[in-house]
Amino acid sequence: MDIEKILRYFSGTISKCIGNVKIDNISEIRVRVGQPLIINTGREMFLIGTNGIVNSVGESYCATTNDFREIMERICSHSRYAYEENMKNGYITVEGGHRVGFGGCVITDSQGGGNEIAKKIVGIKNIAFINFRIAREISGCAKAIEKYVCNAEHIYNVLIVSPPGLGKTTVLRDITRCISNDLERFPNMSICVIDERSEIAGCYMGIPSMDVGMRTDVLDGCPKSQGMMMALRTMSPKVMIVDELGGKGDCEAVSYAAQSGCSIIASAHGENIDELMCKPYLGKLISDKIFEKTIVIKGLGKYQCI
Amino acid sequence: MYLKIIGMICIIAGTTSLGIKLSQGYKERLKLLIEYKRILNMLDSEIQFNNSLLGESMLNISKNTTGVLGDLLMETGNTLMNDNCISFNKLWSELVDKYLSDSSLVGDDLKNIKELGSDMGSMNKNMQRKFIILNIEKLEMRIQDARGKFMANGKLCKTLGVLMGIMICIMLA
Repeated sequence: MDIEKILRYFSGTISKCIGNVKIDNISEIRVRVGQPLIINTGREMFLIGTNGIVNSVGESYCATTNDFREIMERICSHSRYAYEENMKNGYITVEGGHRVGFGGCVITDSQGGGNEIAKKIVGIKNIAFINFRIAREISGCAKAIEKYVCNAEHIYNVLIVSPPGLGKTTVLRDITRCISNDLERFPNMSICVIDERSEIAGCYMGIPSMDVGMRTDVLDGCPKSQGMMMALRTMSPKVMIVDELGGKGDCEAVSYAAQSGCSIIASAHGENIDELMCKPYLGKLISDKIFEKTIVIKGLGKYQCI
Repeated sequence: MYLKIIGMICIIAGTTSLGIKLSQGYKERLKLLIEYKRILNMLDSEIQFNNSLLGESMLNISKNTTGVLGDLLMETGNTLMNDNCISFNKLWSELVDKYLSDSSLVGDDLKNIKELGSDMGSMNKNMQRKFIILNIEKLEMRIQDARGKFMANGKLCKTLGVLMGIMICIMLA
């Protein structure tokens, strides 16, 4: 991970604070207005001050509204208008596939009237909370589950399940790369990644910044349900890769694609299979046995196949 | 005698070219402002239809823009694409000074062009387009002023240049 490339998204002061820190495997950088700057590694959490890691809240650096203004200008490459749609979803993916999540004052339109559920989110203003999730490319991390994903000639429909932060996307990316580059086992292969949040391939200006293999096409920033249909019609994929299934449209598209001769490798949030069964659309996909294998990530490098 | 005639021709040619140069200044100013208006319209289209980043838009427009404005957009676009740490307002202001301060544009024109940097890139799409349209409207007033001055003074400068030369020649003769 090139920390310099990440630091350029932060304000001058925060860049200096993080630049003084020597921590490997940073997974998240948390910035909250008026609150201490925090770095997470997945296993540990560190408070950061102007001279590096500190032990007390009083010594840590607290972000200001000016820091946020500067960060937003840098993250949006001076083009906030271009990220309007992403802002509605509460995140922006920057070069390298790193996802920046926002919290602040959510703006809704009045079309929903008094009905809170029907209100549509049109943007976020007064951003005061940022979670900078650092994408990692761990080549070979999917080796342990390769046997559950495919046999000698067939690629299964696979669902990878884990709570946030345990590496679903990293595993999904490595599986994609392995299958795509395996000319011996799969001589006639084409993979299509429906990368709605630009996290799998980390596309910047349409070009993947992560290695997703030589026979992989990427539909970057495309909604999953529409992307799967588009890919089926136009890219004739043998395998489709989708991250973070959840909505009705996503599940319907997966069901359709799986019954169209295309293997699906997808991921979803959840602690275990029982939790997934409680979700209305995802539960139906599992009970309909659309997925031949379900792999639950129990911890870093710990997998359970069902 | 021949020397006198050659001298008179030189004086008239000199004052005439001075008049033409002054007239060209008015014409050049009008041309630059109209070109800048075209750039703003293209920027609006880039935002509306391509959803391009500001740096990307500047580079795209620079390909279809010649002269000093093309160079200005090219350097702005390249800097924005390679260095996201710089403030657009500061960069735009510096580059406008670098490329346009020696041009025929007057102080108010430069102020108008620099105004683009103040809020560009910090608004949502709808507001951003309104901001560009507001800039175009303000620019339209500058264009009217430049056109008026060109019509009134452009021809006058050329005529005065010739007449001044003739007058000097008569006085010397």
